[in-house]
Amino acid sequence: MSDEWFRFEEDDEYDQDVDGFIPEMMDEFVNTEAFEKLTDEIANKIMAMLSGIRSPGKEQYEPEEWNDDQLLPLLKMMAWRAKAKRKINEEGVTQVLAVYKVLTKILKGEGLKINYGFNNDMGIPSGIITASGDSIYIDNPAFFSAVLRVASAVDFQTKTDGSVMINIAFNEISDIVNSEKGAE
Amino acid sequence: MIIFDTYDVSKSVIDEAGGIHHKDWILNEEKEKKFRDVCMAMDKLVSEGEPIFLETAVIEETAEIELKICGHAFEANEIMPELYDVMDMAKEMKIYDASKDDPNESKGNICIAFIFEGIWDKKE
Repeated sequence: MSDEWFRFEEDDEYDQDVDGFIPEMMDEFVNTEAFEKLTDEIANKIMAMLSGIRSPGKEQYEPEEWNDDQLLPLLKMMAWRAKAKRKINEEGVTQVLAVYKVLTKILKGEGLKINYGFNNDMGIPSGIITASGDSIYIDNPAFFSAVLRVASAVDFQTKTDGSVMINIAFNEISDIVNSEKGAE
Repeated sequence: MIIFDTYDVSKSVIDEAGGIHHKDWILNEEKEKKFRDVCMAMDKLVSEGEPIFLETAVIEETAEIELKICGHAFEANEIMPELYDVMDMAKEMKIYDASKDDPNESKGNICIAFIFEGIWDKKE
């Protein structure tokens, strides 16, 4: 798959607001065979990761379809990768997406928001998932434990407004390789 | 490191609930043994995590036991194995600001409440 169809403004920082040009590319991108294969792989990895793990009396997790909004951080990541002409550990990216997808299923609570993204602080790419809300309820802690074990760091915090936040960090995509072939 | 005995701390609450419901609830030794395992896992978590306090409650409708720990923040990477051991044994889990329990409590302390299977069987 060519990444050339990604277009950029002057600033090539990954975390810039690229929403302006993402929507018109969204359909094109999500309809590619490569992207379909990637999301299928993600679904399979989720099931493999969670196979046989469940809390007493709880149902097995069934993955759902991705929607465009959920895929936006991945699209940004792919755009950044193309611009930077770098090769990124796809396994690590998939892991972040898999955990994100599971959390959308097993976390509940008042005002709950779950987001994922990819940072490039100091040139070190990493994945981050945040879940925040007035309270966060988990009806399947064994699942939650299983997905947290994939992460490199986790912390639970309160915010000044009395809401709570879980930060889940991943270093697994850090084996970035400067590559002339990265955009191929 | 704090040396903590969750079972000992919880015993009076559990005994009281068992006493109140002695006509309806029968102690299940197998379940009690499992709960002691839970308490041992919690001992390690509390000792490593330095929470402000641990609180035990019995949920009368279900005869389940809630163990709640509260602290300023939990850096889970420092207590991952202990936290995950406890989570693996829990039926449910809730994370919230301590002020939700007590409006007089200032915001900024976080509570993690775990629900575990109780130590009783209900009479038919």
